[in-house]
Amino acid sequence: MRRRAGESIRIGDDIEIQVIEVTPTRVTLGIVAPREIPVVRSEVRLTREQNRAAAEPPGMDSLTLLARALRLR
Amino acid sequence: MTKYFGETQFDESAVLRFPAGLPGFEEEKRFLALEQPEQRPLVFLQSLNTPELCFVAVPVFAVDPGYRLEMSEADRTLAGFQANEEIRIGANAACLAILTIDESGVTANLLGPVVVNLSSNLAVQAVAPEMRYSHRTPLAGSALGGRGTEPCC
Repeated sequence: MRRRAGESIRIGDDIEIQVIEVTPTRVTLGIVAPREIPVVRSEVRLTREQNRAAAEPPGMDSLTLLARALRLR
Repeated sequence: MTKYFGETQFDESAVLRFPAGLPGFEEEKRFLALEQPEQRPLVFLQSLNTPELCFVAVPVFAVDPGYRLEMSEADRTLAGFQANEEIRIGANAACLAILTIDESGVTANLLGPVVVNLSSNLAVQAVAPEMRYSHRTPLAGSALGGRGTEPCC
């Protein structure tokens, strides 16, 4: 599928992806979607998954050792 | 009530307010940043909403002394920075990388650091507009092994 600035793509009945601007290094998109469909950059999703993993840190003894190692760097 | 430090007294002015929460934790809008001499340079981001939720973070410069912060306009606004305000880590902003500590080692999320506006205590996890840094940046140094590993010192 090839699109130029000003054109758009429809996914199903409710989602529209508009190509607003194209430069040699980036594309500006507009996305129209129902409120219940979250639209986020992929990096935000990576951070979301990473936060879930980070939310279970180890016990304080391990953290004290880690802190000591960081101070010695 | 905190995950690591039992009952902790705090002043309301010390509360970090995340208007949008954090990705994956959108309802968590109030945190304390706790530090202890024994655990420096670690910073404990303790949720005030959920006692068992505590992220462990370090200042980004402890991971990468040359770190360059990039924030989207939306994140700048969320953290209450003025349109043309220069954001300087250590001056008007604090910038922390959340650590993930598991069997395979310790990594820091430099892609999406927590940025605190020090003049308002508004905070945001600012996922950079460009992927210059990784969300799993390894902490260099063989002493920083996984959970339970003894550092050699």
